[in-house]
Amino acid sequence: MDIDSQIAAVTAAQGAMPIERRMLDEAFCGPPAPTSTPGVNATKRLALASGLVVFHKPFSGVHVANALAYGQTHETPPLHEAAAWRLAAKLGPPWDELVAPCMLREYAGEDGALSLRAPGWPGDVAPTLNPTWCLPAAFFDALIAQQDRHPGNWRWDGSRLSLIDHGYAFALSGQILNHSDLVAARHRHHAATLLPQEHEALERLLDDPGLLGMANSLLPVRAQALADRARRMSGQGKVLRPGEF
Amino acid sequence: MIQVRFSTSEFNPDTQEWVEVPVAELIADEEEVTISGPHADWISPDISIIDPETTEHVTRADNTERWAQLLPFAYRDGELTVEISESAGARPADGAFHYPAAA
Repeated sequence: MDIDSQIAAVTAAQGAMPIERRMLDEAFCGPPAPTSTPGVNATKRLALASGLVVFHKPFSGVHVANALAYGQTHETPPLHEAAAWRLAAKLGPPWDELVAPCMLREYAGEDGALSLRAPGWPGDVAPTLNPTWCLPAAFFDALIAQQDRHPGNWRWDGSRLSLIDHGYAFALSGQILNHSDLVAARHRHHAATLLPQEHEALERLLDDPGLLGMANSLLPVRAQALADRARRMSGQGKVLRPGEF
Repeated sequence: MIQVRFSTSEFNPDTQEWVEVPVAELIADEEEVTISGPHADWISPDISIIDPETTEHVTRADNTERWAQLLPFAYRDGELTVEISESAGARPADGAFHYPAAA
C-alpha cells in the first residue's frame, strides 16, 4: 500500500474524543447486515456493543473504476473519509457537529473506514434553504473539495444536518465534480462571503505548519491543494465556487 | 424496463439480528421514472451520476434506464441497499410519484 504513512498518521491522531474512543474500542455486536449494494462497494453495516450503528468501508472494497473516474485511487476513498473527519474535529464547532465521525479500524481482518450512522434521512433539500446548516456545510465542502455532495450524501432529521460520505474529496484541480449542492446553494443565496469564524478557521489551518494534521494525513499533492484552496478563500474572502478545486 | 429496490436494515439487539426495512421502489422505462414506497421521498430523481466506465455525467433526462442502472453509484454509503433487476413485466405501484424523462 503506497499510502501507509498517511494511514499511520490518521490512525495515530484518532481517539481523543469520547465518540472516537467508543468507535475504536467497542466490540462489534452480531453479524453485519446482509447486503449493501453488491458490486459497487463492500460496505458493511454493523452494530457496536452499545447499539451505535456504523458502516465499514474496507480499502480492499473500493470500486476501482469509480474511484479512478473521480481522480481518486484504489486506496484514497477510505483514507479521505477518515481525513475529512479529522479535519472537522480539528476545526471544531460547528464543523465537528456537522460531519459524521469516521475512524480507520479493522473489521474481520480488513482495514477500512468506520463511519458513524448519522441521524435523519436522505433526499431532503431543506438544508439548502437553511443558512444555519447550509453555510458551514458549504464552507467545509469547498475547503475539502468534495466531489459528490448530493442529497443522498447528507442526512436531515428536521432540525439537524449531518454530512456523510467523504471518500470522493480532497480533489485536485481539473478533477471531476458531480454534485456540490450545498456550495451551489450558498452562492445562489448570495452568501458566499466568509463569516468571521470561517476566516479564523482558515487562519488556524494556514498558520499550522502541519495543516492541522492534514499535511501528514493526505498525499502531499492533495495537502498542498487543500492549503491552496484555504489561501484562495482567505484571500478572496469568499467560499470557492463548485468545482474550484 | 429497470426495477430498482431500495431497502435498509435495523438492528434488533434482543435477537442480535438485522431486520430489513423497505424504503422505496423505482421503475424506469423509456419515458418515465416512477418512485413508490414508504420512503419514496428519500430517493431523488434529480441526482446525476458519474458512469465509471465513461466518466460521463448521466441524468434521468439523458437516458432513464441507464441512469437507473447507475443508481448504486449514487448511494454508496451503506445505509441503503440498492438492488437492480431488469423486468419486462414490472408495473408501477399505486400511490407513486411519476417523473417524465424530459423534465
